[in-house]
Amino acid sequence: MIILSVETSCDETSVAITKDGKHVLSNVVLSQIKTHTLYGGVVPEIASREHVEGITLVFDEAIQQANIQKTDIDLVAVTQGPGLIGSLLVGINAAKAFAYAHDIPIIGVHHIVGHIYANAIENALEFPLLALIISGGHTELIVMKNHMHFERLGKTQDDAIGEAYDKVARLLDLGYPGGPKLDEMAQSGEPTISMPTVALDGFNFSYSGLKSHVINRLHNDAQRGEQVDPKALAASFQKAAFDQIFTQTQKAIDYVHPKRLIIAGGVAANQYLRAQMHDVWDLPIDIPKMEYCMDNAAMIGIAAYFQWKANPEGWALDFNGYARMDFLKDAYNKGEEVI
Amino acid sequence: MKTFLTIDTATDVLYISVMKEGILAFESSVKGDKDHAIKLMPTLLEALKKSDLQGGMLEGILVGIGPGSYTGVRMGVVVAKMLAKEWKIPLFKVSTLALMASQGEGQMMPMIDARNDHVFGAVYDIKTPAKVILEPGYYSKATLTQTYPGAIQVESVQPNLEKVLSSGLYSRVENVDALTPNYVRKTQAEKERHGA
Ligand SMILES: [Zn+2]
Repeated sequence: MIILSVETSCDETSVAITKDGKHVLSNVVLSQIKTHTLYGGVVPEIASREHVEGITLVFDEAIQQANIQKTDIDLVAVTQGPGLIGSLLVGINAAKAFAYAHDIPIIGVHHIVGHIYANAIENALEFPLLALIISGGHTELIVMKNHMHFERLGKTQDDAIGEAYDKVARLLDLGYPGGPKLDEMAQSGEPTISMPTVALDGFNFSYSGLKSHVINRLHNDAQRGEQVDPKALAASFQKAAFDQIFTQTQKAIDYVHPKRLIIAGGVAANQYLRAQMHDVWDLPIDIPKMEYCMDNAAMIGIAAYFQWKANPEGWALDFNGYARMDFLKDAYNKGEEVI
Repeated sequence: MKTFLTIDTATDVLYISVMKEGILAFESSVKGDKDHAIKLMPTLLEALKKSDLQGGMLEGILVGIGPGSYTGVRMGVVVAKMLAKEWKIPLFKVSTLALMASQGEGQMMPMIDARNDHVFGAVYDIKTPAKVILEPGYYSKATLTQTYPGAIQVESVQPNLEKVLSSGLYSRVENVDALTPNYVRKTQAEKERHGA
């Protein structure tokens, strides 16, 4: 089964061709990162405008690189949300028009489900699995007992880990994108600055306390005319941020006894995490290759394959995009109980 | 061009019509605040079905490219680009303001509300061929109406497509991939960066 998938939820215009939920025949990503770097962050209106300029060419490129005919395409899949609404709607309308022009069924896919399924590109998923989702918008632990079946164990009570990273990076004037730059800076520092211990209940996370602590520290130092070593601060923040991830995920592992742990979302690209994880957790871990950690359409195509297998029905062309969307409630687990 | 599809989503009106052999075979003009995303494709399907046409039988697509800052302006442009490419038919663009102006004769002043007492507006002399008296832009509504007191003000997309064609207010899009809406205004972020 050949799927053409589209992802435009933020600042990457991406179209991919995937086969049978496993093989990536092409995965074209037109990044706007250079533009948004000028503004120190993603400017939604500019992102939407650039998607309009790039979208049809990215379709052409993906089809050409995959070396397929348009008549080979069995399904069109597109990110429905969550994300920047103006950006989402460019991809959704392009995908709908393409599907309509070629009379191909179309479905919408949840962005985070795509991130989870980025792990199925390398290895088949084995159930039950525990998914750790860490990104700019999410910090969650999800149990999957089967394909397209999600139960939430815990999530952040306030900020997402990636959000806290971006905020601290901005305070340290690291520019955009902040997360990777902070990660890089932390590599060359020692975690010598004390960070607050956050009381966490159940399998949940919390990052606002940690974020405020760093803000206050920088503020107080500035008032006293002192300057904290930014490398030490970055390393200390990074360690504290991941201590939570390590502890809470271990609790979940002990509770669920999953066959594998899979890590998904943009923060899965973090170098500290990748260096530590095999020492911290004693079970098989899947983490996507760097190119599939970032937003990309291939992951949407892989997720779409399993979504289609669970429910092989094309959607009517009146579906909308959503800036906010809970994948546990909205699309897949209708009527089922969520932990 | 006698058989073509027209799409305009630049204002709060979702406008879609089909001309078949020079006769208006389908026309839908629905006001809706935030549901262009929901209604655009279903209305397009209905338009072709009711006109008993397949995409490839069209001689072209005419798309309104704004101006406007409304999120909707992008949807019509993206869909028109994609359909023109995939159906392998020519794409034509027209200012949404020219579409609006075509509903009358003589000096017409189409305006799209742009908040803060401003509009996206233009002034046309609608005849054959039509003349652009004031290019589409972002203007103070008061200044515009005082400068052209005789012009007939229009604020809705209710085009007379025969007049749009005969007046020559539209043009062929040579590079379909590169077509973008006529936003007129830079984004706030760009203005601040350039210190404007
Ligand atoms: Zn993402």
